Amino acid sequence: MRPALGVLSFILTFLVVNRLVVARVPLPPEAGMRTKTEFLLDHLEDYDAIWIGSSATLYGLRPLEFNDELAKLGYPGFRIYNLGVGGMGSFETISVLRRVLAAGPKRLKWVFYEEPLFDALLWYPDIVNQRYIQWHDARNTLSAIRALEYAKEPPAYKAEEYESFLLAGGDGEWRRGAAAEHIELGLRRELAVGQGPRIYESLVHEDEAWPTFDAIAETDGWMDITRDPAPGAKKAHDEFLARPKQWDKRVANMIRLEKARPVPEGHYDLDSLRQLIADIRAAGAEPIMYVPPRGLPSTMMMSLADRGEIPTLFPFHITSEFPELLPRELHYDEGHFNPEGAALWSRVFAQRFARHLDSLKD
Amino acid sequence: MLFVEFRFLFFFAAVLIVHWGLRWNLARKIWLLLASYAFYAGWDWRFLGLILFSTLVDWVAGAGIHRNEGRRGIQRAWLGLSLAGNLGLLGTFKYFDFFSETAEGFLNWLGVGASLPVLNLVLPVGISFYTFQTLSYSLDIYFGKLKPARSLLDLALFVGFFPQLVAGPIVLAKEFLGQLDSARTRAMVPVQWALILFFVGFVKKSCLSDALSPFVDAVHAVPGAVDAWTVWISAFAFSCQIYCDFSGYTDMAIGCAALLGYRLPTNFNAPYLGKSVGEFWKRWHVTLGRWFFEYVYVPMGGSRKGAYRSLWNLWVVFVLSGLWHGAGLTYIVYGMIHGAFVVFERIPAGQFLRKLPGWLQTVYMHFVWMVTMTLFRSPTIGEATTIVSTMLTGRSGPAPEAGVVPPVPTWMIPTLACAFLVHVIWQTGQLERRWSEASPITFGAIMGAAVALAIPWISTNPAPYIYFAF
Repeated sequence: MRPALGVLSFILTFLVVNRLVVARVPLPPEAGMRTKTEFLLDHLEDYDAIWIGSSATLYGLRPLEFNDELAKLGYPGFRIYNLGVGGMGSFETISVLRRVLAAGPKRLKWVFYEEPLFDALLWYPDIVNQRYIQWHDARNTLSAIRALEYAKEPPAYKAEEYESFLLAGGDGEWRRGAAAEHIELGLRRELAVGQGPRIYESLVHEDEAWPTFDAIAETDGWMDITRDPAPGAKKAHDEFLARPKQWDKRVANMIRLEKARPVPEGHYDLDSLRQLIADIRAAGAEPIMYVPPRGLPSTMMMSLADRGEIPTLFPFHITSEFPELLPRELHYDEGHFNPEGAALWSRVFAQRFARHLDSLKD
Repeated sequence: MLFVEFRFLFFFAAVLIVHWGLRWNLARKIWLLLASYAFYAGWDWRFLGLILFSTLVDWVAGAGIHRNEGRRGIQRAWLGLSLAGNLGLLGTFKYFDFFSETAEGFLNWLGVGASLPVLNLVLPVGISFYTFQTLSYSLDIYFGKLKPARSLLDLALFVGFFPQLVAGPIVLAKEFLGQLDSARTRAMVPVQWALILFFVGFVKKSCLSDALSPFVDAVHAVPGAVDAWTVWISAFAFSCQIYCDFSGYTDMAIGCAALLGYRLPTNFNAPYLGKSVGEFWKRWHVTLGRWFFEYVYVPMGGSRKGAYRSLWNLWVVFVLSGLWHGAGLTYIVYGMIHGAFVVFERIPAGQFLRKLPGWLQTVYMHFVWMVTMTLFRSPTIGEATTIVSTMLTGRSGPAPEAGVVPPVPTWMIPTLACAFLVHVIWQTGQLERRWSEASPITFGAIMGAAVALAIPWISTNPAPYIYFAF
């Protein structure tokens, strides 16, 4: 009896202490993840809306320009925050968004969500990175495993890793390997494996994260891509400048692909999309999905909008609808606007949103 | 399969459950032997043959020695078989290439063009440990300190017992075989003490040693291009790393064995609190020192043949101990230097060291240890010389590119300070006693908190045990 009580007390104490430790794990500092999220949580009642998405959002959407344009169009006093973070995929975005929604924002009425693809594959070769670990809470881990059902094939660099699964059962068997990765990451997060140094550095304020709160406050979260300290950003820009015809080819290709609009049959995690929409609405906000104009087609989003699965979609990638966003001079590299392009897209975004608000009045 | 791996917990849990579920001692011993062989086969099943060979050689030799009691000549022949079998195994797999290449180099230096063969064999994990254990069996029978094992099963289990199979402690036959005679009872198992030991060993290896490893590796990747301060920090980091690595393994081994009802000998006794190199070696890898003392130093005459011979014997033991660690000049020189310091501490000229304040004696010991450990860590004498030169002269080559040597993580400093404090307190026995004597509920709560607090410090880049290479 006493040993059994000992085991019980072990489990209980372990769980309590573990939860306290996990709660102290800081958000990853990479790409502004931590400071941008924490800034918003500190100023939650200052904003009516947020943009949440990848680097296309981070560098491409300027809140001040958006607010000004919206005011000119008859909606003054509106304030939006840019919660874009470089490299943020759907599940990571959901994880950050849930943190924001869980704080119970009262003023937040609109969530602009960038292209929810629910890509369950882990694209970076090093799966054990803080970004991946962070979003693997129990709920997201299960969602990601479920979403594997819709994944088409493993990325090329994973082929060797998944070889035994690929050989074992042919099509689809590799998903077991991918699921194991998600489970490992989930366990790492829930047990806080290896997070001690980060907790320590966070406690002694050693892990300076970029950007600073002051920089965020100045622009409401938008970052000037020309000031990005990451070496990759400058490299991509130089490559973009070195190949001027590449962009034209990309746009031409996109126009061609826009004509094809297949209705999704499988290969998409509708359950996760529906859950996301329900979560946003449960927090008293309305979701609006948008596709950034980065020269890539997004037939999936268009099909989902056609089917009514996405309540509102702003398809900025459609060249015929938003031709003003196409000129190469507005772009910093193939995936991002330069500051001038960002200002323009923000105004165009505001115009599109104003039309949406007008339609709601009608 | 490493003790710190998640899968080992499953393996050990299965071994433990079946072990205590079996009623008969014979069945338990068979089960433990099978588990031990399965554990070893996890590395390379082909090398199981070497363990079996070593076991059989000593089974036959031990019986031969015992059967011919009173006939020293025949006994010597049987002992010769054991020595030839075990040292032959060790020589072939561990030392052949080293001696062949060294001889070839020497002959070429003399101008005699020679091309000697090399075997390029993989070093079987734990070969230095289990061959020494089996040797102790035959030697103890030869010296009349032990009777042969009751069965081949007992001897095989003594040699192959998985907690200590791959990295010690080096158990002597006379202290283990007796434990196999009767069935272990649960009353013999100090559960809480064993769990503490296992946990402490886990923390030493996974949270401390593995965390220090990348920094030490980075410094040794660019020897000569790192400033003296960084090299000293690296030397300190390596001395912490190797202690946590090796003593951590030993703690876990002793803890595992205790949970199965068996006692293994202590291998570390707070070596870093030693006040001289000689005292250090009485506290570090105690079972290796004991083996060399009993089976090399004493048979060579020990201290019975005068002071000078005693010092010579001592020095030879240290050189052999260096060679035991690895087939390389660095290890031999390492042994020679340590032996020289131990000898120096014993002669009149070295007596002044004892008159220094206690803390200064410990600083001296650490100074010698950190400087000489560069030999242990470096693959070549040249690299070691470069690093030691930087340490002692403060001169270094051009700085490496930024980022080549990662900075010492600042969290490591308070962590090591805490670990050192616990280490010192641990030596008093107070903490261990109080913890292991706590009620199951209190103990469970303490362990729950300790495990939850330790997990975040587990390194995400686990490194293999350093002593597995020996």
